[in-house]
Amino acid sequence: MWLSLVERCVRDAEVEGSNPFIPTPTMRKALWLLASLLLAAAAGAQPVVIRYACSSGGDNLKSLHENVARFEAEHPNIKIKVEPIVDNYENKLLAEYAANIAPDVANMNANRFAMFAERGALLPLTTFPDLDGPEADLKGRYPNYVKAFQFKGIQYCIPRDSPCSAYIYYNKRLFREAGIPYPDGTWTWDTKVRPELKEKDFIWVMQTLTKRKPGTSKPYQHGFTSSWPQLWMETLLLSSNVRMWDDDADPKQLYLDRPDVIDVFQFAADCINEKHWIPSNNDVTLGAGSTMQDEFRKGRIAMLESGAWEIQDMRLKMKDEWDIAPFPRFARGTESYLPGEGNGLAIFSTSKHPKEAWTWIRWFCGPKGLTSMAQAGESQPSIRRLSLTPGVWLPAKDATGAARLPENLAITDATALRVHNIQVPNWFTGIQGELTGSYYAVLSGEKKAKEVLERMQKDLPGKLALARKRVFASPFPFGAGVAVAVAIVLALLAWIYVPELRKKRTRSEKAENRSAYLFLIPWFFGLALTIGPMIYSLLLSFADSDIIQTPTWRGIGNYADALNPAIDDTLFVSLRQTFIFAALSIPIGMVAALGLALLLNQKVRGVPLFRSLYYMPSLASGVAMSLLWMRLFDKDRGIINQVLYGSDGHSGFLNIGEHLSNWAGTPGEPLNWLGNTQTVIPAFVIMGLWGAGGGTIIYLAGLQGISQTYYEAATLDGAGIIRKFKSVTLPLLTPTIFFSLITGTIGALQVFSQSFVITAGGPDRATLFYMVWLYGKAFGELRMGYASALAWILFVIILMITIVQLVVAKRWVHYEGELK
Amino acid sequence: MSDLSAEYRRHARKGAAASYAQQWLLYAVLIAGAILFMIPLYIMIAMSLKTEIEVANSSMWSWPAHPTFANYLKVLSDPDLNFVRKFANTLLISVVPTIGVVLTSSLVAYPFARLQFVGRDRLFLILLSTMMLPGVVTMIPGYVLFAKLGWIDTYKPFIIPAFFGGGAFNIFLVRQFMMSIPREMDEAAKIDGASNAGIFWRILFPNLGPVLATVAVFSFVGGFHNFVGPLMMLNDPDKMTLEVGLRSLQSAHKTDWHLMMAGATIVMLPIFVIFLFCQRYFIRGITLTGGK
Repeated sequence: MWLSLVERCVRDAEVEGSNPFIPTPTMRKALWLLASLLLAAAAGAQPVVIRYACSSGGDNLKSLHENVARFEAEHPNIKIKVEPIVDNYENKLLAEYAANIAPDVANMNANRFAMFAERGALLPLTTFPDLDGPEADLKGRYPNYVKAFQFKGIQYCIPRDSPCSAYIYYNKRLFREAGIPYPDGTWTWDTKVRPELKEKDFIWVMQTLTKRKPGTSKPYQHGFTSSWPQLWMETLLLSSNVRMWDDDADPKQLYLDRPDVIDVFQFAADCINEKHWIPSNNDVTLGAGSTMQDEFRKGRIAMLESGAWEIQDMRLKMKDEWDIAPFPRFARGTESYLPGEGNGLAIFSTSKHPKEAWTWIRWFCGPKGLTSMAQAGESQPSIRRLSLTPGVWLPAKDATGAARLPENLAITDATALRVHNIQVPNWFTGIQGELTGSYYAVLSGEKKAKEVLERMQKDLPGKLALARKRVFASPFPFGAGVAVAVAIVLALLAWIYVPELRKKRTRSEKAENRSAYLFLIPWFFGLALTIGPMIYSLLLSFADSDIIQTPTWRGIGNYADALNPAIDDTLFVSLRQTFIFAALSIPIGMVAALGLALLLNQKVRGVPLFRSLYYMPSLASGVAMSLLWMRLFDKDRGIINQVLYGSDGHSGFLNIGEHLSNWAGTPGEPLNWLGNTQTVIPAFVIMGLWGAGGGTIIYLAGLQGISQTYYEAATLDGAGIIRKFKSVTLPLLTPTIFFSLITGTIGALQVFSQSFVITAGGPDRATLFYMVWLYGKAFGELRMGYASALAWILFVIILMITIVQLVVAKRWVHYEGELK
Repeated sequence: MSDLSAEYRRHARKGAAASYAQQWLLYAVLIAGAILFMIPLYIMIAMSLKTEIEVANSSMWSWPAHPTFANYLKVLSDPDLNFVRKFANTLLISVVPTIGVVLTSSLVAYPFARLQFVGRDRLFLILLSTMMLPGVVTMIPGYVLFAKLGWIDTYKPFIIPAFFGGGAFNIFLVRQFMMSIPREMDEAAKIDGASNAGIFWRILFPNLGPVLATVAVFSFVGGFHNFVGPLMMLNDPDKMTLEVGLRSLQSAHKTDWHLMMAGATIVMLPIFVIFLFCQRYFIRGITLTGGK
């Protein structure tokens, strides 16, 4: 019912927004407008407030505030309210749009804006007459960026910066030492070294700049790296123009098992694992916080692929021993694209002040805003004239010292015009995600490209067909929906009260009943807030919904698709992995928390301090925790493997390491904890132990609830520690243990963040826990109806398990104060 | 009664001598465990005292060559962050809900633990079931509901539900604790003519110390560390909390570890202090029985 309201508002806004500047034929209206303008001026002209959502942080946010101040000085009738959204950017915009309180203006990513545009959430900018005026200046911008922000031929955003992420930063000193001329941009690459081309072959340069000490296989200096691993694969695929599917706008067929795709994938991996031209994370000692950029600046890597945003840092930290070259073209291709993530500004169709919003984005993406951002070293302007003018983004002619760089001024057009944004429909992003996920398995050298790609070519077409099965169904029957919601509430009430209706009650029982309900009043208010959204999601599970548009009726289709392994086996795979995790983590976690609680319940000096210390990891920064885990579980240098395998790799404690390696299917190699399907879940369980402090304080509270008299009595009976634990502590602690069991089960079956943050579902779906999959459906693919069906399937599973636990509890949970 | 206590003390003394070695063992275990649990803390503090350059060039384990408080100063004095303001906001959305949860979770738990009423067990199952549906699918309708109520960009979404029992987790926890308190005192008070409200307020509530301390710690820490909640529900940067504000010190394309760790340490300190302080309530056990 909410969404239908939203839809109505959108329609209204579209009608309003489509022609706000066409002069009305009625004279009266114009006069009225004039009069109201005069009135407003007389009243001191309240400025119009434009809410602008962006994801900027740090220095970028500071320079944004400066720009806003300059804009407001020029346009006193407009105030810009900056709303930085530092995380969950798109989710928040979606929620705001669904609630009809979206900001007026928002930053949009070139690869993702279509999901808003497709659904009418953005105002078509073609309504404004001055698209080619001096500020918006679409004709003066790089045409590929302008096109990247069009959806079905309509312009929805003004591109802001030039987004290429495939500049090659190179270390001049290392080039000189190797006797290689500085790259001029005319080089090419192929999937094998072509020594006859010498410095014109990028791969030969990479090979030559990789230096080893005689007799060692691992180099001390690597030829190349990209600033994040997937970027390398993405650049090779775009640069070679090797296609993985047929039509970007409407993918029907996948080409994953074609030899050219396999060739590029395998080559990307070989550069890392076979040749060591590119360091793996294990090859470089990344100090905590040390990045590939730092390694490049230290001279341990000769070339770095990244975007223009590095320039500022390079000038600051590397002085003048670097320059930029464009990424090479593919030797055997004609078209050679490059990856980029462009930023543009759009106006939401719900904005009440589109004209003022337009004034702001035209100014901010126009020469004034772009010049100031370029001079702050933040971005490269999308207006070509500015991008080529020295002193804006490129160094000024009279610059000195580090500010002279980059010297290679030819790179601007050479890279900017090659950037290509692949726009795929939303329903394809799930499949695209699985493809991107496969990069990891190949790049880490775990699996051969051929094996991975051929398997995906077998699995994915089924999912593609399912995703393509667009249901042109009738709109969701909201009237019936409301009726069903009411029926659900009535059914619940009947289930609660009918069984006890006939019972005769005494007067005191009635009084007790009344006072019980008085105590429950706050909870009923709380329940009203929770159960509404719950019922709404239940209704939505019978619909197709993308959050933005009106849901369409789907019947039991979502449930049928999810539960049919012939269509998609993910439900069963993810449930299996989730249950494996739960089966390991619940007992281990409970025992650890209880053990700690018993330890911390000792009445000795200093225990309060220890309690606080043991609870600390639950308060510590999540980032510090994940850094710690990376160090612990690292394959070659991790502490755990040091203990298991010893410093030389063979003298570990009791040879446990070798047994584990055999069990995990990688004999003779140290365990790759987070990269092996057998060990990644146990690794997560071990990580979870650092959070045991939370469970511990629950047990501690339970232990305090046990009256000392029981222990005194037991002591009198001559009971020892163990006997006291078994016959006093344990039975009296069962209510707390039961609580941990129920909430622990719910928590473990909804496990999410470790996988989401650390492994993203991999390796090979081993940590694709149910919630990770569900989240991807909900916010990755925007299939809220399907995600709701998945959520209710999980709800039923958890409910069943809980009911069984409640029934069994009657046999083992002991309540001192139970009603007799 | 006094006979009994004397006997008990005698036993306890005999045990004390024997447990001298045990006590040392206990400390050894406690300290070893504490070291393990303090590793993340060490990493945080060490990194927060390094310069950006040193973070990049040194091992994660190393103690800074020249410890500097510059990162803390930067976080505390950054004009965009406005630390004092954000800290006050954060306190508001952690302290006020904590009060609400402590008061109302015990109110709601009381009938579930102690009273006989129509539909009790089935209502209890409904209480538990509100924890079972993944929040991902109720997030958007919940947000829309809050928007319809006009709660967006206010602190109401954090404060008001806390006064409605504070959620199933807390109610369930308090109910479990309450059910393990013997009923003798209730029964006696009932015979003396006390009302249910009187029994709750005078007899049960004073004995809930340990569990309410636990509920308070969870609620306070949850409010202090809440990231997604303020991020979604608040728009105005001046209303934001520390955790969100600290994230916006980060630039888009690099991670400023030194600042991040200084910020995380600053956020952690007040919680640590409050937790140490709360200890009193953990140890104060049941006063129902024993020498009274």
